[in-house]
Amino acid sequence: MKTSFIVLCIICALPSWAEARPVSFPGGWMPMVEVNAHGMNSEIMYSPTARYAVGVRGEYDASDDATLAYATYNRLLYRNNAPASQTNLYVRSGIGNVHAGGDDALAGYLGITADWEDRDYMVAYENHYLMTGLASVDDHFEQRFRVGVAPYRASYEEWQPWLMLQADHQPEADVPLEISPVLRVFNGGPVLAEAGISNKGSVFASLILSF
Amino acid sequence: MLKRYIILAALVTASTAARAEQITLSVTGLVCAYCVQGIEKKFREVEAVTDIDFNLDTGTVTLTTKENGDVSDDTIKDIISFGGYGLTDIQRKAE
Repeated sequence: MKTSFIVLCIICALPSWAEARPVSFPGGWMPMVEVNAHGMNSEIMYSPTARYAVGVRGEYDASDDATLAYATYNRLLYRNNAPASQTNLYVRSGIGNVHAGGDDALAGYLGITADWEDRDYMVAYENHYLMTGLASVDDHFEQRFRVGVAPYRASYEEWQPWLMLQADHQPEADVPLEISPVLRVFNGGPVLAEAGISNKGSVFASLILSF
Repeated sequence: MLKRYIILAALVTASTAARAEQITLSVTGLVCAYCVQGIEKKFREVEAVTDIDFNLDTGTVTLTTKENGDVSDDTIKDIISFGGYGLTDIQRKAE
């Protein structure tokens, strides 16, 4: 009971949404799991092409004691491939069901993700707006901004660390802005892992596989 | 004399045809290990490719083909563009 309470406290202390490109490579699968300030979520996506991905997503929102399940569709709207950098703009969407307090209703979200990255630096922004048919689960807007630096350049078969600073903004939340240092590590596949702690002491972690 | 020439020509032709090839591709947008996965997976499905190497600092992909292996420019272009990246150059060198 005590362990469960501690785990629940950690989960409830945590910020939102695993950060990875919302579309993988053609024929690629991408399962992910994250624990964060609102609870935890997991998703599995499949990308038939480099332009779009479809998947399913589940979330547990501890603050509202709500579970959400979506069918998801993410699309690459724009990509610029430069000799030493890459820029992307995606739209992310999901539609499904919310369950809370014994009631069920339609739920959905819509958001964008943009990123720029070279071998040494990265910048990323994402947002989404969640809509539900339940009064007990508030519609809300969230956005996240990240800047990162690679402390060294790893070859494609080695583990590449990134040191990032993340700002999470939820205008209607009790704590609207949180700043977090984040450590990301990944290799040439299949693992990308992240962990961070915010200025409010919230810990979060995610694990993303791609194959 | 003619017989010797024919034998020599046959040997040269045979050795050329049997050579493996190293193909170096200049690819744009190839900035992280996460990016190379799709390209690597697709090239490994090409029977003629025996090895593949990435240099993220120079944005190059180096393919090694088996003897008598053939990877056409069209195949290369398709894999790179379908993977979501840009291709600016293909250099071929017999090994």
